[in-house]
Amino acid sequence: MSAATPPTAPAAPPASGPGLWRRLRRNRLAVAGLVVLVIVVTTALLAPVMPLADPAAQVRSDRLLPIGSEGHLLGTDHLGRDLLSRLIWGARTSLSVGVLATLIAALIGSLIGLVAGFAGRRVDSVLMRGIDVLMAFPYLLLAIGLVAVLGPGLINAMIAISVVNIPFFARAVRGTTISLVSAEYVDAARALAFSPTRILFREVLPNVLPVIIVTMSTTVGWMITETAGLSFLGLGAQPPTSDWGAMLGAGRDFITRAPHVMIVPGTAIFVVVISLNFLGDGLRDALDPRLK
Amino acid sequence: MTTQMQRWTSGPGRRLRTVMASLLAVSLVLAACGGDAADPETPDDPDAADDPGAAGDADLGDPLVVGQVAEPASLDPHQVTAVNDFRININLYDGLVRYEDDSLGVEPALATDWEISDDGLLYTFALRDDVSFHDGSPFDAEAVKFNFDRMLDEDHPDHDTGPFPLANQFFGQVAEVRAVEDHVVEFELSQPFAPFLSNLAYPTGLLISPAAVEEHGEDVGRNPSGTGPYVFVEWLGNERVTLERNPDYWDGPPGVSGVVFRPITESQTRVTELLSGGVDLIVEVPPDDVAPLRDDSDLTVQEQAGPHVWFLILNLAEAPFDDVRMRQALNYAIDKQSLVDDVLQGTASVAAGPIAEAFGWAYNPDLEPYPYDPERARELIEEAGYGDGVDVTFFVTEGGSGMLDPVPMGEAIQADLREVGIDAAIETYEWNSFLDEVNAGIEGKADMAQMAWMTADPDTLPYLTLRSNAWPEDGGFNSGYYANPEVDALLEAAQVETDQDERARRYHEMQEIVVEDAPWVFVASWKQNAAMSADIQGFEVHPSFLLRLHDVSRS
Repeated sequence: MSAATPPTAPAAPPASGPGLWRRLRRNRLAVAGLVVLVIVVTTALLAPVMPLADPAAQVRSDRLLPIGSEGHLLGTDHLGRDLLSRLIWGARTSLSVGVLATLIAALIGSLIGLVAGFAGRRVDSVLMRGIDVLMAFPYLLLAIGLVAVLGPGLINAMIAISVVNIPFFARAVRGTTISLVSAEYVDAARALAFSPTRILFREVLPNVLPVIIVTMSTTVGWMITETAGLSFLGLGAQPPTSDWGAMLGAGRDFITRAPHVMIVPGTAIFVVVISLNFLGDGLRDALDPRLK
Repeated sequence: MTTQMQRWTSGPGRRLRTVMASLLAVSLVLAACGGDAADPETPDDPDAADDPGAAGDADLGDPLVVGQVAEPASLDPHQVTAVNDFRININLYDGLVRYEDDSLGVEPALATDWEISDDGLLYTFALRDDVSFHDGSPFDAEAVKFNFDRMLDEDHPDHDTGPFPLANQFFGQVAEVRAVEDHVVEFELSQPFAPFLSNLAYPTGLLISPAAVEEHGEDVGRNPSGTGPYVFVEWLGNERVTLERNPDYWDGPPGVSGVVFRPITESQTRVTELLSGGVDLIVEVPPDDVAPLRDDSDLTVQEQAGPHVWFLILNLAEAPFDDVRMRQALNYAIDKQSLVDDVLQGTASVAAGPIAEAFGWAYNPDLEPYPYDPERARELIEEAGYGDGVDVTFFVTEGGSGMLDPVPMGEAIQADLREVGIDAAIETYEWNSFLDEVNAGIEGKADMAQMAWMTADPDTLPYLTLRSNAWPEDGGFNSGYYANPEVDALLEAAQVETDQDERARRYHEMQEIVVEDAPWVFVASWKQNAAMSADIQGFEVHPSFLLRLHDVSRS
C-alpha cells in the first residue's frame, strides 16, 4: 500500500484546458453569451471607479425622467434616482447573490449526492428521501416560506434560493456517482485499500466535476431570476440597496406612465440570464465526452 | 392597496385576538382574490321589467359598473371591517342616522328624530313607519332591537351568526335596547359616550332584516337584505356583486338601473378598465395616474381630504428616540412637502398633528406642521449626543390600509434621514405580518414604523394609540409606548364629554402637547380619490371613505 502510486483516473478524464476552449469556441451562441457576461461583470466590478451618480441619491423633483435625459442616460426612477447607476450597482448585488447561491447549493448538493451515491443502501435512502421532501415543495413557494421564517433580506433570500436548489445538484451528482462506483479505477483503488474518503474525493469527485460544472452553469441563470423574483416580491434586497428584482418590482406601478423604469432592469435580467444559458449549453456540449 | 378598516376593539387581549383573526381572515380573502373579473354582461333584469315602480327603467340605461379594490369578505354589515365591504353595504342598507352629504355630521335616516337625556345615557329614536326591508318584512323598533342584540348580547339566539369584531368598540356602551312602541326605540348606555350618534352612522350601525338573518343564519352575508337604495341580486365570487335599483326607496329611487361592483385588485388594471370603458367608476387611483386621468376629457376625477393620518410610530422605550430632541429632529429632518408633492403626486397633504384636518371641529387650526429644516434637525441631534451618527431600524410595509405607496415613502424618508446622519435600515413586511409585528409593540424590534389610520370620528385614533393605558400589553395600539398623564386625562375627558365645544377644547390642547412631545413623525393626510366617466352625475366622494351611490345618474 505504501509503495503504491496513486492511480490516475484512466477513464474519462475531466475535459479542461485548450480542448475545452476549442470545443466551446465552435458554439457561436456560447461565445456571444460569454462576451456579454464578461462585459457585464467587468462593468459591475468597475462600478466604484466609474463616474456614476450615487445609486441611492434622490432628487425627488426629477422623478421618472425618460431614457436619454440630460445627466441621466437611462432616466430616473420614481424617487428621482439615476437608473444607469442603479442598474450597474444592482448588477453587483444581483450577480453576486446569484453566483454565491449557486456555489452554496453546488457545494452542499454535490456533497449529499456524492455520499449518497457512493455509500449506497441506507445512507442513500435517508439522504435522497430528504432531497425528495425538498423537491416535493413548489420551488418558489419553498423559497418564500424560508424567507418568511428567516426574515426578509438579501442574505436570507440567498440562503433560501440555495436551499431550494440543493436537490438539483444532489440528484445529478448522485446519478453520476453511482455509475462511477463500479468503474474499474474505483475497484482498483478499493483493491489498494484506499480509505473511502480518499476514493470519494480523489477518484470519484474529479470525474463528477464536469456534471457539477454543467449543472452550475445551467442553474446560475435560474438563481439570478429567482433572487430577482424574491426581491420583486419585496422579500430580497432591502431599500436602498439596488437590485434588479427590486427595481423591476418598483417599476411595476409605473408601467403605463414610465415603462422604462421596468424595462431597464427587465432587459438586464433577460440579457444576463439568456447569456448564461447559452454559455451553460455550450459548456455542457463541450464537457460531454460523448459529443467529442 | 386595500383600505382596511382600522378601528379595533380596545378590550382585553382575547377580544383583540379575535379582531386580529377576523381582520386577518378578511385580508386573506382580499389577497386570495387575484385576477380580474371577466367583463360583466349587462345583467338583463326581468324583475325590474315586471315591477310597476320601475316603469322608467328603460331610460336609465346600463347599470353603473364600479371597479372595487378587492373582493368583499361579506355583505353582513355587522361582520365586516374593511372599507372595501362598506362601499357596497352603504348602498344596500340604511342606519338610524347617516352622514351629511359632505361632512361627518349626522342627519336623520331611518330615524326621523331623536332625543338625548341630559345625563347622556338615554337615546330615544322615532323611526320611519313607511319602510320595509327588501325581503318584504317591516322595519320597526323590534328590528332595530334585533340588530343590536344580535351584535352585543351573547345570549341572543342569532349571536352565533357573527363574529362581530367592531361591535364592542362602537356600541360597547349600549346597556340595553328597548322597543318602546312600534316605531320608537330607546338605547340605554352604561356611561356617556360622545361618539355614539356618529357611530350609529358608521357602516357597523347599518340595519339588516331580522327575517333574512333568521332564514340564512351565518350565510346572511351572502344573502343580504336591507332597506337601502339598491337591492341585492347576485354575488359571483371574484367576478361581481350585482345590485338593482330599489324603486320604492323611502328617500326616492336611484337614477340608475343598478350597480355592479367588480373586484379588480391590480391598481393599474383598474385604471386600464376605466380607460377602456369596462367600468364607469374606480376608487383609489394610484398617485401617478391621477393627473393623466384628470386631463382626460372623457373622465372626471374627484379628490377630497379624508380623515386619514399617515405617520411614523417612534419607539420611546429605547434609545435614541427616548430623547424628545431626537424625535423632534426627525420631524424636522423629513421633507413632508416633497413626500406629498413628489412621491404621492399631490394626492395627500402634509399632516400637522395626530388629528386629521378633515375632522373640522376637533382639529386644532393653530397647529403648524414641523417645517423641513435639516439644519435644526442636526442641531437637535448634536445636542442629544448623536452627532456622530446613529443606526436605527425602520419597519416598512409593502401595502395595505391607506398606506399610500409605503415602500417609496419609506425609501424617501430613509434618504432624508441619511442627510442628517441617521442611518435607517429598512425591513419590509407583508401587510398582515407587519400588523402583527407593529401592533404587538416595536420594543426590541424597531425604532420606527410606518402606520396609517382612517377613522370616522376624531376619538378613536388618539384614544387607542396615544394613551398610556393603550400600550400593546393592554390591548391598545400605542405601539411606541408614549405616555403623558396630561394627554391621558384630556383623552378620557373628551370621550365622555358630550358638549362639542368642550370636546374640541380638550382635543386642541391634546394636539399641542402631542406635537411638542413628538411620539410620532406626523407625515401626511390622504386625499381620497375616485375617477369616473364624464357622463356620471351626482356622485361625490365622501369624507367617510364610503361610496354612496344613491344620487348617481347618467347624463
